[in-house]
Amino acid sequence: MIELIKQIKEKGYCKINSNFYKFTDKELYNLQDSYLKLPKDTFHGERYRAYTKYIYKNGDLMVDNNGFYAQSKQYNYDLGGFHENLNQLKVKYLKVNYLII
Amino acid sequence: MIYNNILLAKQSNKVDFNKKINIGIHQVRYFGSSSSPSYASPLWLHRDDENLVFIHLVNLSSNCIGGNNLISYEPNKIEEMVYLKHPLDTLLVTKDHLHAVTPIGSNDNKKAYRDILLITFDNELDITNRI
Repeated sequence: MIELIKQIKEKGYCKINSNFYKFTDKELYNLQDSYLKLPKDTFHGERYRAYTKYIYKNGDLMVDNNGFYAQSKQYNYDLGGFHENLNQLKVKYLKVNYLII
Repeated sequence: MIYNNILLAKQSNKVDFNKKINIGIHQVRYFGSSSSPSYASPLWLHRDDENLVFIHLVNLSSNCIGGNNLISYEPNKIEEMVYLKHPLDTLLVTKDHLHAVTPIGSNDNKKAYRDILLITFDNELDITNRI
């Protein structure tokens, strides 16, 4: 952890080894399996996508049901400036896939 | 996974934990072949709106070619190329640099996939001004 923080502060990025995240084989399998259910992106790029947003405050993580996805034109010269209607992931789904642990 | 990322985010000082924080969870499957490559948007070097972006590799087909993450501090020079190989290998990027990922194709006649989980952190609660 200390080395990762040092790299972020010195270089602005860091590589994190997979063993930083403690997943069982079953948890990883469930996460991987969920990608088969993703809807196809309506934009170009041959991608399948889903998105959800949480609000984190004082240690609490709450799903933001009104959250939508948008990137600014300033940072994404391609798809910035659009309101994207991406399928939202469900809280139950996320828990099943062990992201919220 | 998110709480591990929160621990790192707190110590990075890239987001203000005294304010509300947006945490975005974005699943992306890149699904392409050599004649129909799959690619990110934007396609080349850029910064993201969010202060911290965790790029987690979830799965990668054995026939996948491409999918190299690039780091740069200036538009005409590549600082480092990172290849996420194993499930849960992760690259954390910030606004301190530019980044990009190369398109994916396949090295056989089947489609290849590269499954990515993006977990983003920022303090901007009203993103309607991005539109």
